[in-house]
Amino acid sequence: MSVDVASTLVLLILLFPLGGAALNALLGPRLGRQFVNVVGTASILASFVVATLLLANVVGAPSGHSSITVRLWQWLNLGSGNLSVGMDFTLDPLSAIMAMVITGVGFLIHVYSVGYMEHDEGIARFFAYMNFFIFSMLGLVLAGDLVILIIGWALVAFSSYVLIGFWHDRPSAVLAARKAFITQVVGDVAMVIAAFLIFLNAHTLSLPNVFARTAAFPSGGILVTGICVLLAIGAFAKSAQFPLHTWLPDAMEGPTPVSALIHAATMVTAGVYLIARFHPLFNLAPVAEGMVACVGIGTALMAGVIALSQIDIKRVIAYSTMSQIGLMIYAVGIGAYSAGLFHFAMHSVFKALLFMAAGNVIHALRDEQDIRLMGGLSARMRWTQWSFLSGSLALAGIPIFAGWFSKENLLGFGTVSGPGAAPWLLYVVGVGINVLTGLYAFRLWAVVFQGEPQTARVWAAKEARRVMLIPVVMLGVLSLIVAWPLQWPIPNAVRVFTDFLAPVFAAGPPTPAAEPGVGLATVALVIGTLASLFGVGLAQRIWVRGDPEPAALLVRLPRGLPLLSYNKFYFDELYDRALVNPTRAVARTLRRVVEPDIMDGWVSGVGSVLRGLSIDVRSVETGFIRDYASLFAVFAVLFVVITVVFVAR
Amino acid sequence: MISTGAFPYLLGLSAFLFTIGAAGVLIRRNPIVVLMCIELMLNAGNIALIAYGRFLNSVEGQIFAFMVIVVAAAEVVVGLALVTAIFRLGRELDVDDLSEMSE
Repeated sequence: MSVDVASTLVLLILLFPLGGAALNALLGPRLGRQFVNVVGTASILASFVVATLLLANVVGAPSGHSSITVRLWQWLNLGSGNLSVGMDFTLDPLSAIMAMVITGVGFLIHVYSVGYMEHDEGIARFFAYMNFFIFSMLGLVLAGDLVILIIGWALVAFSSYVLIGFWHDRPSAVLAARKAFITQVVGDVAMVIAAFLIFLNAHTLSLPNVFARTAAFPSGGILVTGICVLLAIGAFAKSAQFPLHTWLPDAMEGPTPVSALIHAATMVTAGVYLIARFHPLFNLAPVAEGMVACVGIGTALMAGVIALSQIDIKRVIAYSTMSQIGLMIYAVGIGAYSAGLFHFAMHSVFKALLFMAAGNVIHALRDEQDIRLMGGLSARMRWTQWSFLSGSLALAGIPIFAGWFSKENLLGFGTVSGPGAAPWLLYVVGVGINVLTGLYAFRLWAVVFQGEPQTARVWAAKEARRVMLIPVVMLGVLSLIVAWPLQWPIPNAVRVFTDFLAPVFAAGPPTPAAEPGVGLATVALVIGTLASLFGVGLAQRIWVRGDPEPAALLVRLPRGLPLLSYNKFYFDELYDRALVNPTRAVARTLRRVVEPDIMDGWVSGVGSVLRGLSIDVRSVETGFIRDYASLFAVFAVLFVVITVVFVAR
Repeated sequence: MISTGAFPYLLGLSAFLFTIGAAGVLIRRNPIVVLMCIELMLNAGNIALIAYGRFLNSVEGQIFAFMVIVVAAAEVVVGLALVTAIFRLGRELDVDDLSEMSE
């Protein structure tokens, strides 16, 4: 791939969604719904076509030349060339895969939005935001310079903020948007500090140069560990991992296509991408990697437990997203980068599907989200039901569905992740998460689609319109077949995906994770599959057949456990007590004591003294700011003229 | 890369933006628009600073522009907080109505 081709591709892939956003924002409100729908979806389709070309170029590149970094222009040049930031973009297998998923799944979600937002007045605003999100996300994954990456990182947070709060007349949506933004800013700050540390030691922020100078970071040293921990905090905030996870379920206040696009398929997986992109540094910091793996698996377990008891259809899926991303973070933490990314790609297909199918249900039931009021929808929404089932099977990791290939592949790496007992413990927890996944996935499916209709609205429910159904069914089919040609969890079988990504992860310091041998991988595959099947079977017995035996078992659990799960382990309450309330108390004290007595005192004092002094001349004044401003402007011009004419001579 | 010939155009752009901003501050009555116009004037100043910095080969212009951005952000925070406070009082958002300086 030549530099010219690469820069053209980068420009096109970024400019289509940005142009779409601009057109929708500026002309959309005037030109109407039809225009907005066409521009909004066509811009992403065009971007998808460019992404396909990009992938073809990367695939077609001679081996050893699959990565190229292009500089569109020089942006900043400070301190006689010490800090030079260019509009750099990296095209390599990793960014090509990310771009394909973002634009491909993104396009289907945009088509779906045409139907979902049909009756919304703010459709132009909506598509402008959505297109802008795709632009920011592509900027994030294509960035070849840490500054550009951080800009993309911040822009996706902004897009997520405006889209969560899209229905800005709902106070809960506005609060959720704020919460998401503030939590993510915690991660942004950590990333910026990491960038400073990297610049201080490597004297560059261009990613290829940083990775070429890993000698500046002593292996296992405090410096590289600190940088990696800071980067990981950024990743945790973006990917809703413990302890910065509480924003994701609240983000479900946004329209459902937003949840599908941002909070399932793309943005929340940016943390996985970040760690995979910075693998040369993470490979040097085993302590940070261990922390990442533990946080990932811990979040996966916690979110899986919470998903078991939630009653809002979107929140169940949100917690399942958190749990699956936890698994991906675990994978990149143990160095199984391509396994984590493969799960990301598969997950974005079936999770976008689950969200959009849930959106169909919500639409059909006139904005009902409580699953206890659903039930019996399978006869009324046949296509949605089959697609949802396909997505759930993929999520639970049932053989030959997409999730089986990616999740078992990922867990297989857990068996060889490191010496000692701790990695094995994480692996066992991973298998337990397989059981949990089957349980919550099929609880949701059973409660929503099986059994008897719980309300009159369900009786009146109708299948969704074609524009909302076709993307869902397409993803439903993809959830079954997409993994077949790409990657098999059986070693030495199909491994197109891993081989494609191999050049990316072969560069730099060696990756700690070895691939499991054939025997171990097969055993892991069997154990993992059995665990998934056990979870699904248990869910069937409890929620479909209503078998008393497992249900009785549930009742016999310690009383605290279901409560903990239902109340999301009380993290919101904890953060309220520990952070929000003290901040409020400080603010209130400032407002009640410092502001009126100390600040207002002298300000008003100065004011009233002057007021007393000026009592005679005040009548000259008009009191209009614009009069003062005009005088100010006139005298400023006079000053310049006098300086130029008389003084400068 | 921007060529040296672009220098007068950059200054022209800066002057143009500054004029729009100044006119807006003088003419418009909505405090939000006035704030936006002040931003426009500040950014016109930034363009001039960066252009000079670039063509005099000095980093001070760029660094000073960052200072201006920080000040501008602080100014918007205070300005919008005032606008919100006035709005909560139920008063009309009009800089002429809100004038209390001569009383």
